[in-house]
Amino acid sequence: MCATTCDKIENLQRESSMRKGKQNPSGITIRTKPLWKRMLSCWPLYLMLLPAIVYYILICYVPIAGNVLAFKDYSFRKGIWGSPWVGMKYFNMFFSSYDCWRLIRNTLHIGFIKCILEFPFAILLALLLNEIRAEKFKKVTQTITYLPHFLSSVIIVTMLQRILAPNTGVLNQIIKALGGGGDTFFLMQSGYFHRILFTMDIWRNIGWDSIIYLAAISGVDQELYEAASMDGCNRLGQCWHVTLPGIRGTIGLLFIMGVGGLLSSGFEQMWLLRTPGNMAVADTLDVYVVRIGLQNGQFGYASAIGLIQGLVGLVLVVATNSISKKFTEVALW
Amino acid sequence: MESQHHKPMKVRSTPADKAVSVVTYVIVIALCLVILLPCLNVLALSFNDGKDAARGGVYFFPRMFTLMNYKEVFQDGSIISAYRITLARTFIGTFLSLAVTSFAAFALNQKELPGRGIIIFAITFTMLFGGGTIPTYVQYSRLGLIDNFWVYVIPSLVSVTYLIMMRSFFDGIPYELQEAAKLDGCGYFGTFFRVMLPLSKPVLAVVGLYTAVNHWNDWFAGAFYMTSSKLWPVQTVLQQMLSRAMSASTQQTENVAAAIAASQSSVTTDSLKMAAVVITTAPILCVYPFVQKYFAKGTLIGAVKG
Amino acid sequence: MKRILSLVLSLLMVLSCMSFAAAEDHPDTWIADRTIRVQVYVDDIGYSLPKDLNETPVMKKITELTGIKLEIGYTPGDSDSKTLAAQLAAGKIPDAIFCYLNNSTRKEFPILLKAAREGMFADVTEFMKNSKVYKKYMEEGYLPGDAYTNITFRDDLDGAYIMQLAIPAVDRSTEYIPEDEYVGGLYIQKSIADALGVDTRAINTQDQLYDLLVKIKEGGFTDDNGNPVYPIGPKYWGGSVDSLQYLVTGLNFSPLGSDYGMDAEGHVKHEAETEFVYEKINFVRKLLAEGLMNPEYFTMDATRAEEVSKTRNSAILGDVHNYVDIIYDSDTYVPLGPLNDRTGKNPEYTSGKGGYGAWAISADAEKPEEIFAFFDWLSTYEGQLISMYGVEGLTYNMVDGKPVLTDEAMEKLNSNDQDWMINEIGAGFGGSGCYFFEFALTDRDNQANFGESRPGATGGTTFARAVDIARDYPVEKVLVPGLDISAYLSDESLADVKANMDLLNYDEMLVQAMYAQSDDEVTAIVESFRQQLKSAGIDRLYEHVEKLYAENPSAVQILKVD
Repeated sequence: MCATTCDKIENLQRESSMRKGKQNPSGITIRTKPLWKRMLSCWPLYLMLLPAIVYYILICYVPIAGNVLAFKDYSFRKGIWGSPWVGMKYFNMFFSSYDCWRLIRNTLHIGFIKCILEFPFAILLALLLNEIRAEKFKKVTQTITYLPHFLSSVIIVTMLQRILAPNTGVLNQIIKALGGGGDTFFLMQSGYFHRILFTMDIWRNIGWDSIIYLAAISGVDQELYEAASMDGCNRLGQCWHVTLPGIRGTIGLLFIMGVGGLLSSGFEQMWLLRTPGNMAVADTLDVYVVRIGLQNGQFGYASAIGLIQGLVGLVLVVATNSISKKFTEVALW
Repeated sequence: MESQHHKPMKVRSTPADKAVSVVTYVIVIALCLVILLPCLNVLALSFNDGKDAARGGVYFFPRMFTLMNYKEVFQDGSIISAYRITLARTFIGTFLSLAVTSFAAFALNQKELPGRGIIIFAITFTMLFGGGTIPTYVQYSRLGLIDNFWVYVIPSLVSVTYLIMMRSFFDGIPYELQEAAKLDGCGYFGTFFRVMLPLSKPVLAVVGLYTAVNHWNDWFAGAFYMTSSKLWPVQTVLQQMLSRAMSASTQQTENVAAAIAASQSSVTTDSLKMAAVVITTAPILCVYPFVQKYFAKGTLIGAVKG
Repeated sequence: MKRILSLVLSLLMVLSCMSFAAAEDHPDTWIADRTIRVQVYVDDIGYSLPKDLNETPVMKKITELTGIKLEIGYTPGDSDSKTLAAQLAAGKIPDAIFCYLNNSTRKEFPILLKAAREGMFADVTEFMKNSKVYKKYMEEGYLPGDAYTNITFRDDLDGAYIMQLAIPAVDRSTEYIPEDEYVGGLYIQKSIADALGVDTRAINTQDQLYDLLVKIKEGGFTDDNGNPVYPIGPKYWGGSVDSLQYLVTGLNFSPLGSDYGMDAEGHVKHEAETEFVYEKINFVRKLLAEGLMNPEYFTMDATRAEEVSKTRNSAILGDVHNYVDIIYDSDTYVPLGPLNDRTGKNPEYTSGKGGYGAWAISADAEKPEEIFAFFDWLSTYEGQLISMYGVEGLTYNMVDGKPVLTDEAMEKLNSNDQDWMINEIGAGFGGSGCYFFEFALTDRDNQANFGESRPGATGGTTFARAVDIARDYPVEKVLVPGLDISAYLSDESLADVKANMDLLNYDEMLVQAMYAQSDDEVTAIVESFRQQLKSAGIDRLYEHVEKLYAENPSAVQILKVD
């Protein structure tokens, strides 16, 4: 019953999105004008863009240009531009270090967990919360779920250590009560590291990340729900055929942007969770940069690794964006 | 179970729907419990006597109830003045961010804007390449931002993610409305202020909330770009308290004076830290319910029809 | 018009006369009427800075005598080295900087040296010559060897830029002065030692330690919460890989505790390349396997480590010292051992005089001679007295030529009223008050100058037990001059070796192997580490050090064991 109506709803959906994205009817005439005239006619738009452009140039691009440090031997006195060139020295140094591939592998693994595996959970929570009709209850639960976002990593890791402690930790107590050994040292065994990381991230971010999806859901056309329910779609069906397609664009954009972070793991969390037992998998590029690059004053080396991370991110984002553009029409540019 | 009490208010509900709501409530309640319990621990510790808490075993209720920790945090005047900084940066920063971001998002939403794609690409680019610690510091110092209040506001003025989210929200507003406004003689600015802004409350609320919370939570700028603790926001003060516990494990002492100084600086009890956590977190938590009403269903469409 | 001009002129003359007259009133110690801005990269030193530094009685006194006001900038502890690097890179350091620098092997040193080489600091050679205190630095034998040749008067620098602090005026490094000693290492619960009838001083070998741990486990002792105790638990400040220091002393390849030692044939070696690495690993594995050791010994965070120490969950604490409150506030814990090294002795090896911390003046500072003169004055007898004791009549009085704290100050010190010591007075009080005024001093000899090792050491009650412990557990101090072998990695010819070695953390490898699941895994971890040492080029370090040692045995801190 529902299946047949789904087509209808999808049609409606498409209609609605077409309506929204309708081209400027006078677009054709504008296109024929020379570029400078078109630019001139848009001057108020450039004026509106101006603060953001100034911001990006001064705050982002000038420091990004400072990445030439990756090819220079940095001298305090001579500054970024005056320092002597050293060519690809730092890149060679990095790629010839025996640790390099292990670091890249670790970083990719953690990046995969953070960017891909963790990604759907906030959407799921948003969909769940959307199903809750009791407004008070919804408000309270939402506030609770976003609470951990305010706790600093130091506090969370301290709590985590307490929960996961061998013998005395809550988790091991439960395992013991269920007849297990209860002496597993989770933080000292590399096998558990990724699971711990994943759980900590979900716990901390799920509520916070779901806010943006909730907002997107609020923008979904109510008529579509009415139509779907009229056609006999139950709530699961509505969720699948109306809500999800309705926030598809938001999901797609966030995913494309998130993919760029595949080669960065962040420093603080890794550093706090790292133990001699799990360092074989917990050492990532970000940790390495802080340990080797900054603390020892090897700024060029740190920049070189940053450049590698950025380049990989760029390739991934461009690729994901064009694939997405082709198949789903959701794209950043 | 508990979830039975909250029956969905929908008129027609099939058995399948009922199953869905039961499952939903169960999952959401379970999740809330998992999240809440550790946070309760923070609360319990903050109300417990510090010396007593250091003996361990305080979980969800304080064993020796006291308000001393809170009193002590407030007595140390630095947190009050740090609060002023935090409030100022949050308000100013969020307002300016929203203004600049929404302007830019609107401009980038106009399909007739030449160079739109290039600009968006260039902006996305900055998300992937950072300047690195040194070039960034050098540039901020050149801009005079070091030891300057504006270092809290300017570097986080426009976020790529929020800009793109806002632009895609504008995409969702029916184009006819903009067109009608333009036909009425509204220029770009008029369209922006009279049509787009009033319709964009949900996205403004979300981006505003995210930005405000980011401002509230940021301790790094204070720690790194401010050499005087007088301009630190509360989070930097808190982070300093917390990091003291971290750096303690690597403490190297060579002489008695250093040993005494080190043990002096670690007298901050866990309970005191937790009280500081609660004090720094509570105000911003209260913001959410107010923002939430803008996410109510149909905000957008209702406005369009009206 | 003319009248106005003459009026202005005469006014100016009067003013200048007045200021001249004022100058006449200045004490001999006057330097200049200015504010010196310093940045301090010393962990959380900011915590003990007065809220209004220049308004404290101590600072007012200092300003009255020298005209100088201070503005001290700092960042939270864990961003110190990053901030130092960034501020140097941006050319944003203020008039002077202060940081940790025990010796030239500290991690800050490469950055400081780079800055000195590139002209970021002011050359103070000339100021030193005319100074009151720092001129001693130029005297032969005053500075520790490392501070002289590797820090202040380096051959590869064209001047003197970095000055180490806290240099003792007289070398007492081989004397044992209880008031000046902190006794670190293993501490055992007295009640448990008593119950077992163990002589805590007689635990000196690894086997004795092991037997003791077994006895404790069999004794079935419980902590304050009724849980069984761990025979040995983490350091009081939280577990870390360096907690091995006191646990396996008898299995160190180098009796000095260094990662490097010298074998019977006179060859320099890393401990990982000897059999000692396996002995250490297996000793700890045995403890872990038999449940004699808290499994979180190396990793527990500071909060919980303090918790298990305070609830008496560890029969033996992995490391703590006598100036920590759980030690000096009660007699719950007493020192254990210490363990002998593999030569059967347990002295404290010292390389002689040592410094603590360092400072430098920015090359861009205006009138660097004034800045130098100020910190020079601060280390004179008068400067030190004010810095440490505060203001005469307010916090101390002179009795028989020595400062004695007033009753009020003594009471505040004993009750540890930090707010009073820091904000109301602002003096150092031996580390209990504003620590900057302890840190920034040099040429120290508190016993000779002030008759006690720190303000209130005689007559103060707070640390009485700490001093008692030091008195009851004396150790022999043995001089082995020279720098640790790892310091020579900083030699320019070994730059690439150092870059590789920076990645290797021997202690981390040890702990990793201690938690390995099987013997094979242990072997794999150790062998891989040995391989990495080889490929890092460690043989070149050995060669370099052996050559140096042959030329001048006192340059390298090595104890040859036959």
